[in-house]
Amino acid sequence: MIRPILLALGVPGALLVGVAECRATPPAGERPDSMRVEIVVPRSVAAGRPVPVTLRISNTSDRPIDLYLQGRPIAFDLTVQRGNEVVWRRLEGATVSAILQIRTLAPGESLDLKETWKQKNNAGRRVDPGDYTVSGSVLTDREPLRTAPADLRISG
Amino acid sequence: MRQHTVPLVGLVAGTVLLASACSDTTQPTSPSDLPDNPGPIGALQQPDDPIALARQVPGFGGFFFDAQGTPTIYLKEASRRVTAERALQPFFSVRGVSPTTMRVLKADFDWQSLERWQGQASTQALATRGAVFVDADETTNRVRIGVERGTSSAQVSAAIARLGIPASAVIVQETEPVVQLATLQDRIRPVPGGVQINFPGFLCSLGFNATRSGQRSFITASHCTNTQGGTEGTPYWQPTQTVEPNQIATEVADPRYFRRRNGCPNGRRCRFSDASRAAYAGGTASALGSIARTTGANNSSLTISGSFFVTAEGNPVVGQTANKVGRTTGWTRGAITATCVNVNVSGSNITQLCQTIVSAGVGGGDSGAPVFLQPNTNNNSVTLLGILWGGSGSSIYVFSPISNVESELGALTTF
Repeated sequence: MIRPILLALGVPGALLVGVAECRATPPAGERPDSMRVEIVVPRSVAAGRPVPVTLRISNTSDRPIDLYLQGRPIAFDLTVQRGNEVVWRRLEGATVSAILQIRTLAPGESLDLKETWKQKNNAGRRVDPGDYTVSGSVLTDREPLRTAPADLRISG
Repeated sequence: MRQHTVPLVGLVAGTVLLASACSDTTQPTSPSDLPDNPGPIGALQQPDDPIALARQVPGFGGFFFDAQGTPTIYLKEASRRVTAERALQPFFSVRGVSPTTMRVLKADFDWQSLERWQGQASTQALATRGAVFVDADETTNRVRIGVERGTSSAQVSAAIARLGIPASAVIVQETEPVVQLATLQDRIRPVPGGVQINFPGFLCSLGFNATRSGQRSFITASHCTNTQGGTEGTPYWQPTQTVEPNQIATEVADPRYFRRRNGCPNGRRCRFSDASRAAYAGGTASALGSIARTTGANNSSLTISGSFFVTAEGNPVVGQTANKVGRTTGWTRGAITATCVNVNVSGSNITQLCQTIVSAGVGGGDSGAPVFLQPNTNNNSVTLLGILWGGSGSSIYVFSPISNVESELGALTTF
């Protein structure tokens, strides 16, 4: 279950990171495990340049945790918004295999799920320069693991 | 008795009425029946535990409230009534009940003997097939042994005789088995369709059982194998290798994906079904035609409450209501919205040809689930439609029609 308190951290340097301090929802009978789910994007990208996006799941506890993640490969969604308008969704209209992948993260270990956004909307048209937010979610066998949004500026 | 070997709520219903058949009409006795030194009796006992309070009364054989709520006691000698009333005084006082309302029944056996025999019988009787419970029964002044319906009581009776327990002190009765509620993610035998299966690193759902050339098998998704397309002997466990280390089956059929024919788009790999077949291990029981049924459709329950039974195979038609049972979202159902659709699989170069789309709940882990029609919602006979393999969001799923499955895996006997 996602903890309701979401921390958006502005990290000095080239990247902006949206962090969700959250607890995974493990199988019934097991106690929740601590993990961090975050989105990592450049703070600013020139118009038309590919935007590397990483959705990172980190085990912040002192023991291994099992993740039950949908898809093969793992299905993760990314959403780029300008204000309240969704301009691009990674899994828009996608059909994902309904398999569950069991991934164990050691203490301190992270799982990076990477994608490159081509600055195009779901209709295939290039988006305008401006300020955007990027957020992500990973499908599980329960509620998705969601990140907080991270800011992204596309300069003209 | 209070320390039942298994939960017995409801099992004793009706037995209290049997007790009235041997009711003793003894009336309350005079104070002259009090023992010479009754003081210690019950002095250190809990006031809310009548058995503990009364057990020291000579000839005590059980205490209970009958169907009318009348306190009732078994005594070997009715003359011990006052002793019993005195012993139970703390219990009655707490409840504001007069001991004089207590009914006395003739005991054939004292409580200590019944408890001892219960303990002895438990070690023997519960080790026999079909035994359900062993109870020192307050309401019958007997040791009562429950056996599953259809189970011979002779084995239990023989065990009792070997222990030297009087046959007249034992009642053997048929009863329903006491079962734990199982879910689609638990170990289920014989293995039905719809339950969780595990292969290295992944969880899926078992589709349906089938026989192919005499080989007991199950069908699941092709991507629920070590390699999607191609037979490499994927091992399966149910529900997981951790819970049940004995492997239940091995992949034996999973045709390769093809290119550049049968309408397969350029650059894509195609098949008409995302389905594979695994052969059961000899020691694993399976139930041909059986699909686990949960407590209801679209209610998120994973608790198994019964079974569906495949009685036919069919072709999907738009507008029909399709059902599926999978380990993650259980039993869901909704309308078939499209048939014979070519579908690209996200994150791959695979295209599944001529698939069916349903507007109903799905989640990660439901891959491989059986899809079926339930022509009459008042019974459990179903028509098999195919194998679920993917979803778009949480409310649309895609499945491979059974005709496609059998065209690629060969003819299957499914019921």
